[in-house]
Amino acid sequence: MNRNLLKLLLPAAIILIWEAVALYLNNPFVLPDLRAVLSVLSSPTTDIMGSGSLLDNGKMSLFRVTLGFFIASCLAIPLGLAMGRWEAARDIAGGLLSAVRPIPPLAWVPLAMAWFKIGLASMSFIIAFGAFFPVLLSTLAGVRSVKQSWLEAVSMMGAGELNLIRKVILPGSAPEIWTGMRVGFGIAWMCVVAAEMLPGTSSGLGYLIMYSYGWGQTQIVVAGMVAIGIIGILIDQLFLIVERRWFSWRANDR
Amino acid sequence: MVLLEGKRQMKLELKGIGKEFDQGNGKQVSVLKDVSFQIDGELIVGILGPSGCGKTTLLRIIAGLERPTSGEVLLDGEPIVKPSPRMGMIFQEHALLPWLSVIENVSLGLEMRGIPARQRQETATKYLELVGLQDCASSRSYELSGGMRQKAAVARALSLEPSLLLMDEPFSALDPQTRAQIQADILRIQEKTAKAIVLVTHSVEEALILSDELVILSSRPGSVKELIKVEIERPRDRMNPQFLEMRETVLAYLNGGKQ
Ligand SMILES: Nc1ncnc2c1ncn2[C@@H]1O[C@H](COP(=O)(O)OP(=O)(O)OP(=O)(O)O)[C@@H](O)[C@H]1O
Ligand SMILES: [Mg+2]
Repeated sequence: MNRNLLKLLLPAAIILIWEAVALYLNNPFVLPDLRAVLSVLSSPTTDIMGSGSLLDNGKMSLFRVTLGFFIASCLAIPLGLAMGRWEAARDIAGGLLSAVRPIPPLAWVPLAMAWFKIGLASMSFIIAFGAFFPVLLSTLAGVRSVKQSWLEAVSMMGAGELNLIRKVILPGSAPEIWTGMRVGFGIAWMCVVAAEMLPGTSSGLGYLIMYSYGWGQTQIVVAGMVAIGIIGILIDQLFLIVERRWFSWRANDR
Repeated sequence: MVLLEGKRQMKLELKGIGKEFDQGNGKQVSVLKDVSFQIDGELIVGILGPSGCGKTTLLRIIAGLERPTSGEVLLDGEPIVKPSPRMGMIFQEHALLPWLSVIENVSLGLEMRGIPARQRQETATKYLELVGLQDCASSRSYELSGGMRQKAAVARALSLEPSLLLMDEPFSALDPQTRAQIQADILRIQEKTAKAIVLVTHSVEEALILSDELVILSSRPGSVKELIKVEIERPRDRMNPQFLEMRETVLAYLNGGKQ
């Protein structure tokens, strides 16, 4: 059977069941029907009750997540390379990091608000926390996956530490780092929506969902959720395309 | 095509090399003991010895990848304390970087030396032609067969024009035909580029086909048991009586007899 058909099977079934239950309940506050949700989704540029359009809020969320994710990557990749390469860096930073790691990003919300007030800064802080650890850990794993023989072969060419990092360690661990970034972005995306649901925010998909919920507009809530899912998938695909284009050597290298 | 880089007299001296490894439980294990010999000029020197006698360790010490516990290695009178591009190493596992194409692998050393792109390309192509891989310049290492990978590794090691090539059982994973062919390539390349080669091998035949001199190590801790000059005329024939006789002699040394 066609594999693409197979992939569509489950989503189609769920939509059917949803529609059946919605019709049966006949209560749009609990479960809106497909048509209501689609009509919201099909006009993404229409303003929704003065809180901005789906598209504007989506862009806002994307901007925030990108900023926080960028900050996290800029910190986690160099730190991971240093910790992977130098024992001293591992000794200095390792303990603190493993103590901080179990704290969920959202637990930082109160402190983030106390330090940065409500706004872009506190939001980026929380998102960065969400993305930081996956990127850091995979960078560490990446450095560890670099073969000793690669390093030795290149040091035989007279490479110093800096060249070893630039020419061997960084490209050699890039596939792992990229996978970590992909995971990290997924987490950051969850964090941004959650953070936007907090009181005090006034834009973003998370905000839109909470705001519409307050007005009993469940079809907008569901449309917002679908939008979050679609954007998540698209970005993940982007990561995968790059992975296949640039890092196929990893799968082929035995 | 003339590739001769101009004769460069090189001299490698090993002076009383000893090596001990920590066994982890605080005990030391002695792997090499007082290994001394020297190589003058563009010779091929084969190192033979029982498994575990420290051949790889010795080669890594010569390369500067490992520091000896005692003694020193001198290349043209200068002590080797870290890897030097004056030596090229060919590892048992090709050790090509899989994210680079073959030609990028070969020109990497030139790039780090700051040589302009055009010239890099030229030099790398020259050495790829020498090993017969010019048609695979843009392939990745994983797209090549085992023998081709080793040839690419040879081209890479040659690209920085070292005076000494180190090889650690580079052909042991290859099938006999490929192996014989690549051995012939090595001889041809050595003649054209005038290099000294130190070759670690398990195979007495390989050592006798290639080497001008043999260093036979004793079992662990490895020390020089015998230095032999191989004075069989080239090209060497495995069936030649002189060759067979020499083979018996070497095998006898390896098996502990004949003092
Ligand atoms: N880094 C190390 N730490 C501890 N022991 C080591 C280390 N490297 C090698 N050894 C030990 O030194 C001895 C010699 O190893 P080496 O690899 O040099 O032998 P070899 O002659 O190359 O053997 P083979 O013919 O099997 O390749 C072995 O007993 C090995 O266990
Ligand atoms: Mg060995």
